[in-house]
Amino acid sequence: MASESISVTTSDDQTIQLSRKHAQMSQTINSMLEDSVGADQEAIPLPNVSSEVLKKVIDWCTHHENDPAPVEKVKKLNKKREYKAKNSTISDEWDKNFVNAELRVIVDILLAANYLDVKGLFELMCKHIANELKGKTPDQIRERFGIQDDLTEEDKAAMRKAWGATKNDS
Amino acid sequence: MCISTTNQEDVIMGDGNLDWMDIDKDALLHDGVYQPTPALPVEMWSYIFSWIPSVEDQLNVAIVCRNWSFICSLLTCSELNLRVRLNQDDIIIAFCRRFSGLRQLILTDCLYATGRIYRCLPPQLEQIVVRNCPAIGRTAFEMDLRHLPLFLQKISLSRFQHVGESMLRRLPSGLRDLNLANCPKMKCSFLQLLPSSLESLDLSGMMDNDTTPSSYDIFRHSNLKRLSLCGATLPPGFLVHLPTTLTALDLTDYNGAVGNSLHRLSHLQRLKMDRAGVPEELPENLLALSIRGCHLEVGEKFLGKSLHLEELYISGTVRDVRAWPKHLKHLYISHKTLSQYEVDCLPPTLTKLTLVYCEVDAVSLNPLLALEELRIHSNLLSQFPRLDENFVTFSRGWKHMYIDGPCHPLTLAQLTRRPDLTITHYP
Repeated sequence: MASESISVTTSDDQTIQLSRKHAQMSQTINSMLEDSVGADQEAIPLPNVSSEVLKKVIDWCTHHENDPAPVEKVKKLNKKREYKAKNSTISDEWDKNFVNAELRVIVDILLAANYLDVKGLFELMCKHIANELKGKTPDQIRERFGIQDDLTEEDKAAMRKAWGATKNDS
Repeated sequence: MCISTTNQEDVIMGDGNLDWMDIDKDALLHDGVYQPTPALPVEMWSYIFSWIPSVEDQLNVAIVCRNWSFICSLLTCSELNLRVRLNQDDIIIAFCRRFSGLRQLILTDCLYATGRIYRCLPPQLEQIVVRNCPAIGRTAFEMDLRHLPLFLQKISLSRFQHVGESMLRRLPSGLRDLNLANCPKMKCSFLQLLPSSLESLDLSGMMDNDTTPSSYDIFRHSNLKRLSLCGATLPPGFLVHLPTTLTALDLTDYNGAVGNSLHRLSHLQRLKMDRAGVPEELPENLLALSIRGCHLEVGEKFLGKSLHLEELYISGTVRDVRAWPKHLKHLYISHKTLSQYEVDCLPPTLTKLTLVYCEVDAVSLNPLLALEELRIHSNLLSQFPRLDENFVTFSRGWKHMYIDGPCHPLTLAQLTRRPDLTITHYP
């Protein structure tokens, strides 16, 4: 019978135990477990995730452990095949608290969620960063994310024209 | 950062199609100028931006920096043309995972792309075309096609080394276009595994000789419109099994007798039979014919009777043409010495003439020709047509001229007198 807990080794050489249920919320770990059926249960190496970030991921998995599995929806687009943005509202109060962290931590969790392939957490982090961008001017965004402005005024004018916008870059 | 496109403006504007070539992932992530902070991969930023609903916010994000403007243009991209020089295929997979709206993916010269990409294709993808990606399909492990997109209509498995029955069974039921060119040779029983929805099938170089003629009946009952059997090993009498629905057929290097077996293909419009036997009679509605490398003396009986033929591709092995098809519009001739008679009887309907390494020194083009385009590929000055004092008269209708090879200075000077003529000259 399979063990109820899994050992993983993080990038800072910490060995952390997590329940099989939480481990299986990560497609990456799940695949590793399937590949190692019958083999000696050694700690699974996670060289791209630190222990600090992994604990955050486990926190999120613990809160969402009873959520239904995400379903990949395939929708037919309309004839024009228009791009339509998704709804980025974060409705869960616990999630709102969870994402209330420094940008550096958010990015680390996002990268970890991507590496571990935890779909729900990945989407939550993306939504949060998208919400951070909403309603801000380009200057405010540059300041928030530490980005250098390397576009010329001609570039910006061309893009405004393409977007059909008249708003000036404040 | 090493990103180049055919049209930089298209990238900034995001016109729905994108040709992103020569991606250097390391440069993309670590380049001092373009590196976004914090450094996330392009596909991840794109996924984040896909959650921004308002046009105003999208614009504000797009004009933050050059890198983000490029990423925003990806949001509306439905066609992606990738040429990636990486030592891994992760970036292609990342693109596929994050750009769920992608309709067409073209991979060219992605030397290290592997068959893993077939597991990660965007759900809305309709076409995947793979060109010169030698690592794709090299191992049997990669042949799991269970997760192919539901709406996939066109797929290229060209040069896959491990095409097998289990893989072919998993092709989407609505597939219309399948390319199996140069896959390992198989007995034709595999044809029964292909989706009945197929309209276009490329089996170049992969059919193995099957001595049971009834095995090919699957062709007869298919709805195929385009079929390529270039270099395929086919048994004698195979041609009678071809479906009458065909509109385009490639029988290049077919070594069997053709006879009258193609005449019944009443819908056939394009026929390519380079280095093959020539049919006694052509299908009635044929519009384009290629018989380069075919040895024949055609006289009047063959080409002259092709009432609807508009495009013709021949080489020096076609001798003594006594009459060209009456409605010919485009003629391609390679490695042939043209006689004055052959030039004189070119039909007045001809608008495009391509001469590749042809001996035409003793020839003047007929001033009555309604040519709009003349292409000449020549390695010898002596092979260039003599464009004499009548040139100004008979080139009146020309719009384009392409010269790949040496051209006499005087001739070029004459050509350039025409301000309405586009001349492309590669000396």
